[in-house]
Amino acid sequence: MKKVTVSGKCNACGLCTIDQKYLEESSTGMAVAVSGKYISDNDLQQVEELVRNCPEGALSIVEEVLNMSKQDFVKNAVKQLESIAELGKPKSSDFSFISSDYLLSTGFPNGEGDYIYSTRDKAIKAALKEFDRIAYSQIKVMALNVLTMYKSKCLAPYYDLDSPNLYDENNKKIENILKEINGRYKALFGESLGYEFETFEAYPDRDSNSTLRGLFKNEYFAPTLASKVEKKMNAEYPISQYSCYCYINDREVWEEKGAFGREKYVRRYCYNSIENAVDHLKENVIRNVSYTDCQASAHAFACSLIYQYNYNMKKEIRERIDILKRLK
Amino acid sequence: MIIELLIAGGAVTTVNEFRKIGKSLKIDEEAMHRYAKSFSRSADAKRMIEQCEKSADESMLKLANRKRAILKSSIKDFLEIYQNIQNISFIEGEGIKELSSLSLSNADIKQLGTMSVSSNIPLSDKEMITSVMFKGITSTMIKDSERKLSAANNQMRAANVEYSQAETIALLYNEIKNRADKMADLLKQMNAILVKSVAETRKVIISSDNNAKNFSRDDKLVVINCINWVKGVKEILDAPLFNKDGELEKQAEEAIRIGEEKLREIKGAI
Repeated sequence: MKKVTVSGKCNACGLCTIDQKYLEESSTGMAVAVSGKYISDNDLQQVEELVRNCPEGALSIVEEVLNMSKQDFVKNAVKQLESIAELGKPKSSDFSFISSDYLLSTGFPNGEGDYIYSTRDKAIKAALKEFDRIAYSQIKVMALNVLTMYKSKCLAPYYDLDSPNLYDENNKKIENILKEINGRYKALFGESLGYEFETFEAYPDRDSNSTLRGLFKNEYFAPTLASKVEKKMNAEYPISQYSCYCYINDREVWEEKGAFGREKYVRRYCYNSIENAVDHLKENVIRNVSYTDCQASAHAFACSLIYQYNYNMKKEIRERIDILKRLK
Repeated sequence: MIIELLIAGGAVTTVNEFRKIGKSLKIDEEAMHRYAKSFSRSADAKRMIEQCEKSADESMLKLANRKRAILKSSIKDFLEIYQNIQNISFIEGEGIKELSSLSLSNADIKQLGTMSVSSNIPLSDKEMITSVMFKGITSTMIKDSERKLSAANNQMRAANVEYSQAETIALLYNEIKNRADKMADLLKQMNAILVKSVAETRKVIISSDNNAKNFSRDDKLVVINCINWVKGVKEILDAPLFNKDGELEKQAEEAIRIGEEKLREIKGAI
């Protein structure tokens, strides 16, 4: 039986993919042979012309000797399916947390530059209160934000099935093998193994309590680790530690006219800026997120999903093997 | 009797306070849940843009590949045959230059709102005292939790806005992708006709032995049609997808429209 093949010389002119079934276009326009398509006698002349007309000489027709009994075919196909490798475990280095990738923002402080406090201590207290409102009380939320971004960056191909993911990629490869087997079967014995045989959709468990759903809905991973970060930071960096980053100013402020028309001035204090304290807190949050076991945890989640996928993939392949073994 | 009543009253109050604490914790939990959901939505928005960008890049690459392929094969063939009637210069136009870089401006995407964490509105000292005095500390806790929940809801609204902005950017990328795909497909169809036309013309030239006198009326028509077709292909090859300001170019749209019209005409004639 004859098949058309495409070499690396293809320049994506697209001529060979117009109105015919043996070649298709890749996403970048290169010609790709359709898996499992053997050239029928009726189409041979047309395909030969196609090969001749390729401006780059990238197409060729190869002859495959397909002369075997059904028993041998099944034996070969089963062997081929059994040899499909599992998806490999991801490397832990794929889950590195790079602090500089994350930016946090907070609300804006109120009351900066208001000379209304009678003592320095009161100004510091007010600064810390404002700092608490816009930043310190938000440690958990900020950690959650960073961890969600990290999760999205490193784990999305493992849990987000709506986007390009590892499973679809591997399923496509397996589907091509199945199409080849089906195409060969059709060419040899004139009948098809069916569309269901070719369609391959294996995924990790997707029920409502599954790891995949939990990660997708952001219920696992980020919330747990964010709580850890909050606890650690509350214990190790109490709010009072940030007082040194709050700038306090003082000046004489006119208050009222005295009893004999004398001007009366009093010393008043304000917090000038708490920006520095907020920046330090943000840095601490990101640093503390990196100190959690987020990388190991992400790696473990990925491994768990890959394990589930491999299990389901093998199950699906076994079903195809059973179909083949039932052939008479 | 009085003591018993006091104990009973105290027990009821304690139970009530615990219930309020439980309620507060529940609201806090709900607030964190909403934060988690909104951050996740923001991350989804970013990923959606990345994917659309990647997809548009692939389509641009396909178009660039196709343009280069046509220039290197069909147009080259045409130029070889028509050395003497070569009055069309196939210098790489703006459309080719633009595509060779293949990079889309990321500036707009980077501008996509940064994650802004909504902060709680604080209780003033006065509010705090009033609330503690008249409602008790647990009621204050509930009020505080409700404020957290409200902030989380704000975050959710912000995330929704971010997501809808991302959808708008995705639409733009999809428009780029569609246009690039349309152009690539049109070029493929036009190239198929060009290849046939060049082959036909080559035959005519060989049979006429390069002598103008040997050209019949039909032969001349073959050559003219070929030249006209090449002009049409060139227009598509040179049509840039964007103008200098990075806006989708109307010229490209027009070139596609004319190209499709010509294609329909010629297919109708065949």
